[in-house]
Amino acid sequence: MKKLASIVLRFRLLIIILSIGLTIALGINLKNIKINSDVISYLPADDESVKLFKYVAQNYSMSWTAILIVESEDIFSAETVSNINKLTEELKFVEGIDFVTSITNVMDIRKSEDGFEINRLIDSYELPETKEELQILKNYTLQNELFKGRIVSEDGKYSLIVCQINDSFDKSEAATKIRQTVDGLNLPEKIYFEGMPFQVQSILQSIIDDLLLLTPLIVILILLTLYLSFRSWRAVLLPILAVGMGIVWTISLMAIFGVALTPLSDALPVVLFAVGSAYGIHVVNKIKISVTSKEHKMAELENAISEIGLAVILAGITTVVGFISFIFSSYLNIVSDLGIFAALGVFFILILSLTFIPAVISYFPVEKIKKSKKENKENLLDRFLKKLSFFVINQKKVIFYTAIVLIIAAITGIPLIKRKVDIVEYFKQGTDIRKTASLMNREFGGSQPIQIIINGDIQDPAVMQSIKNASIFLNSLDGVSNARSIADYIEEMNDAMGEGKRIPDTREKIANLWFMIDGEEVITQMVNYDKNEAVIYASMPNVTAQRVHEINDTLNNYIKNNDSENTRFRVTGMQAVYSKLDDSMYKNLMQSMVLAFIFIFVTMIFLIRTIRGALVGMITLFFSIVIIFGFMGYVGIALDIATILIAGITVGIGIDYSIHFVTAYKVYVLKGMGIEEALKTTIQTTGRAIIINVFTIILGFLVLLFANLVPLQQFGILIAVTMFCSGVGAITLLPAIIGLFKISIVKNKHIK
Amino acid sequence: MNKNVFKIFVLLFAMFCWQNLNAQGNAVQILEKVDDVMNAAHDQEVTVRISIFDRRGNESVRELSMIQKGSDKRMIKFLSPADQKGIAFLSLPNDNLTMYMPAFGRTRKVAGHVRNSKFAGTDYTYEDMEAKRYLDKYNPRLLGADDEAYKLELIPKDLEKSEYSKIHVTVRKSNFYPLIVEYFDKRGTAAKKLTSSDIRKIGEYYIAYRTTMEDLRSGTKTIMQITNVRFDGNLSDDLFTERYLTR
Repeated sequence: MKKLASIVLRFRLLIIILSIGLTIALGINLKNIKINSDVISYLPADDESVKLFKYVAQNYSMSWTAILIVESEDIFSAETVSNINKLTEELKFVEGIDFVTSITNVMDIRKSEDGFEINRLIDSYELPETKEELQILKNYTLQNELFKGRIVSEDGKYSLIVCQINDSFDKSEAATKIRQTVDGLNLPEKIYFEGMPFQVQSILQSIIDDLLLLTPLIVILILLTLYLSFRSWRAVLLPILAVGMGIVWTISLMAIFGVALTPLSDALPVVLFAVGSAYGIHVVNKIKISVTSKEHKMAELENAISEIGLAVILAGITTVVGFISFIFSSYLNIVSDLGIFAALGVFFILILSLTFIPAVISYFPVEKIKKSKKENKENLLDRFLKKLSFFVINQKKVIFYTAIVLIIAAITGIPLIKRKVDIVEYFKQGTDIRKTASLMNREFGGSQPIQIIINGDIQDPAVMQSIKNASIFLNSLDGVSNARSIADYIEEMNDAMGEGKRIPDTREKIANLWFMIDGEEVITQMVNYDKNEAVIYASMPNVTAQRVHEINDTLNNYIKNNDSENTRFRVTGMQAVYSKLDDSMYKNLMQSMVLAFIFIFVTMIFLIRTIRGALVGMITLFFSIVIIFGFMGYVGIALDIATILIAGITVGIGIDYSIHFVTAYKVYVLKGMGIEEALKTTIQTTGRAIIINVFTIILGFLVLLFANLVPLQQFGILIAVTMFCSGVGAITLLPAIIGLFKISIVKNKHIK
Repeated sequence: MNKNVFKIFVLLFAMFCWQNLNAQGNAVQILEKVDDVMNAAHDQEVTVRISIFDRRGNESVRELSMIQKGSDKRMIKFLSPADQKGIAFLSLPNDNLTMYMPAFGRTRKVAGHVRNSKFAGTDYTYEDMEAKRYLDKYNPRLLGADDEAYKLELIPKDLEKSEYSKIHVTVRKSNFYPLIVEYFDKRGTAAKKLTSSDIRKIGEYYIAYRTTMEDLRSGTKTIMQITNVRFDGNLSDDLFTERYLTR
């Protein structure tokens, strides 16, 4: 450590020039940063269900549906029908849209006395106008299984316009264009925007809003807290500057490597500010305490750096490891991306805090400690810490047992933790996206796609029958509805030919019927060109992670049992994607926690050099983690892609306070203090930095409460709680345990 | 001197007006001739090979034979593919369309198709297939001409009933056969393009052996290749009956 300190001071000018130069050189790339809000791209591209989902999107243009819900007192009024027609015709011209389907162009197979017609439900060239015509249309539509609850709600007040977006087209751009088209027509009907493209678009907007709003807010807050604590601009600006530079390096590297920001990594500046400012604060605090004389400035500086260096490095490294644990254990691209760059960012800030900050300070005059004030009137915080130190030492047992009670209470809360995977839940209650999603769930059974892919000779009656059976099975599942397939149309036409609503008995009949619908858009969405692959579509509402799993398992069982030589089944859709997401979240959480725990234990052994001592440090960590998960259970914060990060971060950051505490305590013991005196002194000195740091971080993360996306908000709350627990734990529980069990952190021979 | 200049101006103006009037008159006359050329035969019997290309370029082939008498009696029978062989349509005046499906062994009346829906998977809509004279449906305007061809712009007489806002027709000067027909959607952008080639004179009638209809938006294409044609074979009315349809 001494070596590092002297190197830093010897090359101080070079360090300053290099740091600023690098910041400028890298910062130029900031403008190239991209934002990625495409939810499917967050998932690994080589995953089977993701591949299949993309396959359907590319080959049948059916995965990316933007849905407009038209609301009207009566959909079947002359005005609304004509407006839906207008909208349908306009939307066809929107770039990126492959197909538009609405009541004014949906295919309709009608049986008549001596024949049938394959038509549009409504002839867009002869729109119904009279009351009578409209009433007939309404009755017909609401009695037809192919339309009721699928394209028109059962009460006739809502109707869908479904736009299929080309897989290669930017979904959020398409969503914007659709909105513009709708706005341009200025229709009297209320129109809701539903489906992934609109959700993706809203996420994108939220990311931009969050970045622009939250980052400045957090800087201002941290500046204020720091100034109030240290009353020195140097102590305030330097840590912030170091963090700012570290963030610029990190985000610039993302831009250089073409890694886009996601709803998760847009929190990166906020996270780095909250996490990284601690290192600078500790360094500045240490220097302030240790460097007092003008004459010995450089020597004192060197001492200060070497004394604080190890603790800061360990604190930083544990945090880096916490983030790295995401990389190795993540199924999700966005989580591993965040892991890599958060780890890098912390690393940069750590380096800057230990080099750039002391280098700059070395050029400043020694800061005068305002003695007059200090001696006469002790700082409020100092007085509090003094009282606290006496309380902790005198009430060791109370503190210890309170902690045990809290841990037990928290453990009972852990089973209550919910999980959520649905992107609709990224949005706050009451937002348009949420309202529209529940409208869609209520009136049309939801818009989450479920797809079964069948390979076989589709015109073979047996295969066609399996398609029919599978779609009947889909509809029989609780929550799943609107299963539709080629079999529906074949049955309708068979009925029209006078042979009843069932699958025809010969291949020739199916081939004959096929002639009538060949080339219809709706058919190309359901059967491939070679007629050896068909897709059954169904939808489900926004459901819980548990229900998603159930549906997925049931479907997987079904296809396993029905797979045969002639009829191959595969299943994909959001239930498969979400199940995978949920499983991987769980696995991710466990793996990252175990990984982080192991590494930190090793670090603690390295630092404290006794296993017992290391275990003591782990106790406060365990305390924080259990409390945080209990909190999630009781308060109802679900595990999702953002909150699973909590465990790793908690382990990484939460241990920092213990490290600082134990390091300082060791120094005091080595200086010859008794255990209790050393503990008290540590609480009064290091405790100060810990408390300031805890409050800075809590304030920093509470800024996330203003985030537009729910996972980010909850992430903020959780980090605040974690920091509070591990900070308070480090200055109360940790000394209480050390005092209670007389744990010798320092090997016996060192103690006088 | 001044008077002379004035005279020249008057003369030029008169010429311009006359030309313009003549152009309008010409457009109607040209289109009339086109209609005559296209509907000259009393009856016809053709065999056509239809290639349908989807947006990915996959080709599917169908063969059909068609007999037509006048402009409103028509029978179409599909010869291939094997599983659709024998499917037949009989179209009689007053939107009377009957279909026969051999696998079911029965005929069914088919109610009028919506005009903008596709015919049998091709890029032709029922509107495109209507056996009506251009002049009955459109108002023509002459856009220009070169040595080889006239270019006409046709505006539907009933815009509401058409999926097109206008049609551009390039007409060959020598025989008044339409070479290229471009269909414009309601936005005024080109939506489809029909190209006729291999135009042959059979007896006294002209016919394009190869026509290509391209859907410019979706990238699909339908090519019709005539493999056999016979004009004025005095087709009997008995051929246009349900009894013959099921044979």
